[in-house]
Amino acid sequence: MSHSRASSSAAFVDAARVDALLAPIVPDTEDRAFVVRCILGEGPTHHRGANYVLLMLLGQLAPDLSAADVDALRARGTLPVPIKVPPHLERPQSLMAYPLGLPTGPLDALAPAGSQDQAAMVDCLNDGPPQHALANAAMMWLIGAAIARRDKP
Amino acid sequence: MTDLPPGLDQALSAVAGELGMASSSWVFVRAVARCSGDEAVAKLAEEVGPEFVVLEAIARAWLAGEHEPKTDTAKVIEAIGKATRVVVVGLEVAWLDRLLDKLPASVKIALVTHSGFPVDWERVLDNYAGRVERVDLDTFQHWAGGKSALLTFAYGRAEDARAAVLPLWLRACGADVRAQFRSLVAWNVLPSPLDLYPRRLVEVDADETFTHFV
Amino acid sequence: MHAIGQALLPALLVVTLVLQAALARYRLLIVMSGAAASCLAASMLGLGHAAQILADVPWDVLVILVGLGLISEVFVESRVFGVLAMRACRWSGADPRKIALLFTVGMYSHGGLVNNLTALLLILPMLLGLYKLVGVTQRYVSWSIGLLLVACNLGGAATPIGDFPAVLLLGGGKMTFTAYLVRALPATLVGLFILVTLVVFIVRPERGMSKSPVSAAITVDTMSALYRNVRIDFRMLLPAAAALAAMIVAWMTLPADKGWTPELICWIGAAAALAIRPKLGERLLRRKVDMEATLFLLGLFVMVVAVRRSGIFASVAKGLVALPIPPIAQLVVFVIAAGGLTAIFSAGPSMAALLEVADVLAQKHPPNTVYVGLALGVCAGSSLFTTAATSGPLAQALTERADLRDAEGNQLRFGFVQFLPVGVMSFVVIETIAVGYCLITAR
Repeated sequence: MSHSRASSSAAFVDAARVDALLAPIVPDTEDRAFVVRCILGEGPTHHRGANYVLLMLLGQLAPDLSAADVDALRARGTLPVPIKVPPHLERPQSLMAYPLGLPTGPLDALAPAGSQDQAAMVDCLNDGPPQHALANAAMMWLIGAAIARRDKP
Repeated sequence: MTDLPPGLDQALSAVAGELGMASSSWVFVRAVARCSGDEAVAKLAEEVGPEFVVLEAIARAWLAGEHEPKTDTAKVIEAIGKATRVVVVGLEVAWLDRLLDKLPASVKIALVTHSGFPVDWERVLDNYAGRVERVDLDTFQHWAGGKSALLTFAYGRAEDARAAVLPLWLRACGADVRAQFRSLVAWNVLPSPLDLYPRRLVEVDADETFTHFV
Repeated sequence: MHAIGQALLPALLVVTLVLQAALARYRLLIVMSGAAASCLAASMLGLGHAAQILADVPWDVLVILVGLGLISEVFVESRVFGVLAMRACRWSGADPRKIALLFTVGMYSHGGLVNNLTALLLILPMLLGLYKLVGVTQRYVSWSIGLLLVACNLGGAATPIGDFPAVLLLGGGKMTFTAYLVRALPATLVGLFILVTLVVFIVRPERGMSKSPVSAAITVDTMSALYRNVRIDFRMLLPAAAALAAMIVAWMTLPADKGWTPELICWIGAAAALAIRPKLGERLLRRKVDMEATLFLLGLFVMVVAVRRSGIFASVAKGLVALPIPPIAQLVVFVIAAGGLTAIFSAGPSMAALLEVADVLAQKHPPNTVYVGLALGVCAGSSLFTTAATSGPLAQALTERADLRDAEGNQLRFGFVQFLPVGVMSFVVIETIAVGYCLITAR
């Protein structure tokens, strides 16, 4: 099978659909535009394309996310996704974070809350360039909502 | 025949960094027009324009009847939105002064103090009486954040979305910085695209480069 | 030993001064090394140990220089100089002749209150920017900046706090504040008036320059734009001005023999001016003390003290007094020699060394005449060559950095050659005034 350079084109990416998907999680329009731009508008084309595909597919597992779904997940804990500047230029974490946090509730199924293992998982999810970290955070919200719906009595 | 004094290019380069190319061009064009009329403005465009294309564009605009720069701030304030920190890359005092008059005091402003021209940055900042803080290319990322915006000035936009900006913008806004500021705003200070090749500017795709081009 | 000392120590001083002028980028290292060598030589020759030499250093002068320098910096922070310079530009309507006149008079006034280098560092970059807007010629640059430097020197000689030579007189208790001011100020004003008249109205440096109204309009409009919102910070200026005024009143009225010495007054005044804005005061103390000038003068003083201990100054003074000419002629020779030596060795070393000779002459002539004559002679000498005072090389460097060009694109310079006509004229005028002053007041 020849390697085509299909990944050099991400024309299928429709930012508006991801924007709509994230609307319940990041209600502020400007904040959400920033997050969507970082996930779908920055970085290599193949990252943008992959992020789009995974988010849209996960969105199908938790369609029509409501504010209540999001609040319930948020209540189980979130951590900021840091904006990574050179260490000597950092400000207190609350001010240098993206408007999209990482929900830690779903990770309780893998490691106890507050444990070193869970902390390491958070590090892995937040690591890397912004398009990875934010896409991971967005996926965690969708995964968390899907799991919550599955487990609802 | 209208004669202009020699050395106007030296005069312009002495202040273009400290006022901005467009702002200083407006000062020059107005002064020439006031003293010697539109014929002298045309001569100014002819003699100094090749070296300072922004001056050429503004002189042409003057001759076409535009006698004031368009410094309306409504669209750029909308583009800045809820940002609480704005880092300005490049300087155009006629526009920046207007913007600062309109922005609430709660919005903090920083200026990247770097220019291809000689600039007395102390004097620049003295004009803002503490309203504007000084940062440089090494430290401006300290201002990054989810409520932070980067603002620069563009010098005309063509139909194919090519816009001329300062090279400083490219130095400041690399791939890493793009994801550290919520808005990347360009404020167009020229009424029409540049006719001449912009020697002191660089062309970028406005749609790809900025979140807002106003 | 004394004979060896009288040969060796002055030779060390002269060699050091010549080397530091020739290798200006190593001047501090050279001067401090020269000072160390002088201490060593003096000690070996039994003329005094380092501790004794250091005890004789006029620390009061250094305190006054540092204190006044810090007060100058507070004025700088208030933006008063920039705003005044911009207003001068507006008042002049960008007329090159008026620019030269206004800035010369302004520099004279500033020079009397702040040290020359501070005044120059503030005004010259702005003036050079103004020249770029106006469009100037080499002739104009040479004469206008030259006149500016001379005005700076005259202003520095006009008051007891304007420049190092005058400060040395005040600090050393040679003259009171008022006694110096009422004598030197009128003399320097006469010098300024003559020089301004000669340059502005007879030499006319602006001859040949374009007189386009467009240049004037662009210049005034641009300067207004550059300073459009710059305001004097009166909260900073007024307390500093009040502190300086209080110091001047104290110098004039409080008795030095009761402990109110000039350096104590300066120290208290400077501390008060800085304490009014503690954050600013701390920042200025840490960053704006002119360590280069302070160390340079310290090294110089050490060498001059060592030379004095050799007895050479007393010998020179004796030789001068023994000259078979009328006493008044001895004074004239002294004042002219002061000018000549200053032109070669610069104001600092010359004043420090010649003061020792002046002390001897002051026993035979009215002391105020001798000291003011010396100060005027030193002022004349430091106005002869660009190398005679630190302000000359500074002006040269600033002009080069500004990359000023004429209508043909040739770079305009301000160096030794360009300044020479101004220097010669100034030297003759000021030296004449110095001699005339001595002749009039020695009777």
